[in-house]
Parts: sequence; C-alpha cells; structure tokens
Amino acid sequence: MTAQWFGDRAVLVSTDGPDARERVAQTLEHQRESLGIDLLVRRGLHDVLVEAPAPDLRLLDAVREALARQSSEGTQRPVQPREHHIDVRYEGEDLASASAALGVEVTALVEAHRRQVWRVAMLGFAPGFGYLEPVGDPTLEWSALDRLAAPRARVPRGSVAVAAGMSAVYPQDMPGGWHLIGVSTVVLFDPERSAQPSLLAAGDLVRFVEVES
Amino acid sequence: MTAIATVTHVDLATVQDGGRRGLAGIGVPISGAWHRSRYLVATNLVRGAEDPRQPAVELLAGSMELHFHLPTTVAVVGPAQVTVDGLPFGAGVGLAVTADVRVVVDHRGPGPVYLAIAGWEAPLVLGSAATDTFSGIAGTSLRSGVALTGVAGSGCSAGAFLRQGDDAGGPLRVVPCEDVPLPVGPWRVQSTARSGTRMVGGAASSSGSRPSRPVVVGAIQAAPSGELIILGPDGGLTGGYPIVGVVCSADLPRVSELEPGEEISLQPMDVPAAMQAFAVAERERRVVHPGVLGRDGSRRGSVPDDVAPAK
Repeated sequence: MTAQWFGDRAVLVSTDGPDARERVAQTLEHQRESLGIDLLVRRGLHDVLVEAPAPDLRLLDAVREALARQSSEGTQRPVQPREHHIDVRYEGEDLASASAALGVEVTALVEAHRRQVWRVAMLGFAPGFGYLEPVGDPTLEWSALDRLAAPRARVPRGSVAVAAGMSAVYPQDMPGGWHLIGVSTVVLFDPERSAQPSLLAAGDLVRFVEVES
Repeated sequence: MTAIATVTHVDLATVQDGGRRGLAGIGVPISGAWHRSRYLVATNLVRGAEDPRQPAVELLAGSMELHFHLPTTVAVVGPAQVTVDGLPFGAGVGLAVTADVRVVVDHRGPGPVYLAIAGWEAPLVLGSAATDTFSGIAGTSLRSGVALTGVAGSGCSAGAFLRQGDDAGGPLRVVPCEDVPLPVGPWRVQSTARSGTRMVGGAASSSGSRPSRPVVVGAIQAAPSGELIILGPDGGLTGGYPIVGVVCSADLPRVSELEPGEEISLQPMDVPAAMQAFAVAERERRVVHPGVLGRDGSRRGSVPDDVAPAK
C-alpha cells in the first residue's frame, strides 16, 4: 500500500486489490473529520483517491497519518454495508452471445448472475453508474468476458450488463461497450432526490432478483 | 422572480458557476466554469466579492446578444468585444446598464468568456447551476428567447479588474505521476472540449491499461493511440489509461485557453512549487470597486496606478 501525490489537490492510495481498497476507503472515511480538511474519498477498483477542494500541502501527511493510526490501533469494526435488490428481466440482446463466449447455457449464465453477490466498487462513467464486482467466489468466470469489440452508440436506460469481470446497470441512455443481458426498472439516479440522488454508493452490496417478462 | 434579460442570440455557450462539488463519488462531475479565474473575477465584478454560487454564461465561441429589461450590472471577463446599444467597451469591466438596452458579446478567443449579471438566479440541480455537457443531467439550455430571471436591483457598482495578463506563453506545468517520465512534447492540440483536450505529436509511452481508478480535473491520460487527453470539468471520473501527470492548479485555466493547432510543451513541477504557484495566482487576481472607469476611460477615485482593465 502506497500513498502519493496525484497532482496538487489529491493523494492516491494504491492497494493490491478490492478487499484492501475497501479497508483503506473505510478507514479514510471513518477518519475524514479528524483529518481536518474538507475531503472527498473516492474509490477505484484497486485505489482510493483523497481529494481536497484546493491545493493543500498537509494532505499527504494527513492521509499517511490516518492510515498509520489505523494500522496501530487495529481495524475498526467493518461498516455493515447496505444491500439493494434490483429487479431484472433476463432478456438482453447479448444474452445468447455472452453465454456462448463464456461457454455456458443461457440458463446457467442467468442463474450465476442471480446468485452472485455484487459489491459497488466505484461509481463513474455517468451519474449513478456503479461498477459491480463479485464478492466471494465468482459463480461464473466473469473476467473471461471482454468488452464488446464495437461499443454501442446508445444503450437504453435500465440495461443490465456484464463485462471485464463486472456487472452494471445503465442509469440513463448512453454509449456503452458491455454485454447486455437484461432489463431493469430500477431508478439509479434522480437529481430530485437531493438527499440521495444515487441509489448506489461505493461499498454497497447488490443482488439481482429475476422477474418474469 | 422577474425577467432581467432575454437571450436574443447565442452561439456556443452554457450556464456555469463554481460547480457541483463533492459528488464525484456518485459519478457526478464537478462541471462549473472551465476558466476559474476569469469566472471568479466576473462574479466579483457583479457581487463585490468572489462567489462560486453566482451563475455566469460561459461563451466558448461565436457571440451572444441579450436584451435587458431592468437596470443592473453586467460583467464580461475574457477575450471579447462588448457593445452596449452599439457603443463598444473592452471586456474586464463591470458595466451598469439601464433598462431596454442591448448587450452584444463577441468572443475573440482564446478561451472562455464569462458574462455575469447582478441579481440573476439560474435554476439549481444538486446545488449548482452548472451545465454538465457530458451527462446532460443539469443546466439551463441557452437559446434565443430564454429569459434570465432573478431579483432586480441587487447589483453593486461597476469596477475594473487587474490580472498580470493571461500568461499565454510557456509550457504547461504538470505534477508528474507514477514513474512514467513526463512526455514533455511539444504536443499539438487536436481538439478541445469541456470533457477533455486532446493532444498529438509528442512521444508518450502508453503501456496498456490498469485497473480503473479515480481521476481528477487536469489529469493527463495517455491513450493507447499515443495521444494525450487532459481531462476537463465535465470529463470522466474514473479511467484505466496510464496517467502521466496532473496539470498544476495554477495552470488549469490555461488548459481552457488552448486552441486546436496550437503547440504546447509540458514541464514537470513538484508539489511544493505547484502549491506556491497556486498561492501566487490567487493573490494576483484582484478587483477594484467601485466605478473606477469613466466612459472615456478616465480613472476616478483612489485607484492604484497599476490597475487596468484587461483586454
């Protein structure tokens, strides 16, 4: 684990994987107030970025001290993550080709996607777009599936997709290069819900619940 | 809320303010004014102090024409020609306008021009009036016929601002990242947009991708094609391309001044020096109130000798 400057307003903490990233992110969120700076803690797949609103020379030391304090005091009790159940009709247009690429029947892919517990690794790409990573043992070799060779110019809102070891639901009509396996009615982002415009937050768990067409 | 002015013509422009801070973690970019210092000067000219909540029109190209219904103060900051009922003014001053006048702003480049109006209150989405040109989640669509509404008569008097010139020359100063040597260039600007500025022609070693991680405004991505992309305020929040460095905060406004075809070099800068450069840039931005310029350009009141309106 290393913490280093990322420009003059942010510090990037690199870890060796999702579980370490989650521990670091929770540690830094936990200590955010004691860091004494108006900080934003953001996750990547393996990294945590701590961003200040303006250049601040104290930032790197503050982050390093917070991480050192945590390792000397031991890990705090892990935060109980929120869990979301997201409805899906498995009728995406790439369902057959994605199953074939993974070497399984369509029903096996559906079953594996439904049984998998997913965790929101990070949000990005579009407001409310969560990158979902498998938690625990993968129910299928998800990482064997690449992105599409030619991305679509427009993927409809609510599309449930898989690629590169992850799953996602498209919060709005937008371009996209993932395999579409289903459709959901979930509203992932609504700016009018000002207290919580994004349904998903990093660290949340997601389970997909199949509904019949 | 009453109509302070009506847009009668507009080319490439959006409504911006200080941006949507603190929401990057849920995928919402900061957006907001691309050229922070010009924008803050414009807010100061109409409010008497820098105010990141003040909306302003960010004009990137072409022209804009407004018909004012009520007396107020208008500030135009950036490279532009301003006319009030046909009478020409330089940009960089706050102008008191009376009701029923026509203000035309002609973009002369390089970089964004800001028009702020005292009393204008643009609709807020997630706490900001800023337009996100990428996701389109928010922002007032500026087109002919749109009324800019607010509370009239809340303006302060006109002023002029001082800045040590838009330092257009010299390399862009960058805090290097990782152990990738900074590809100093020279680079040729290929395209510019609020989401990102693309540059080609230099030599960057872009070795594949890595697990996607958070990025910040000013981060310079090395794309597999060999081009560099400097992320802007509406740019992506995560990415897997190698990052060669992050433009220092003091030079971020200069990124918005780059024009296609222009050549630019990069220069490494360490973090303490970048902090120092930012502190200097913040100190140099200064606005003098009130009413220091007569219509004939004469100075009145206790105006320091070094104060001059920008071009």
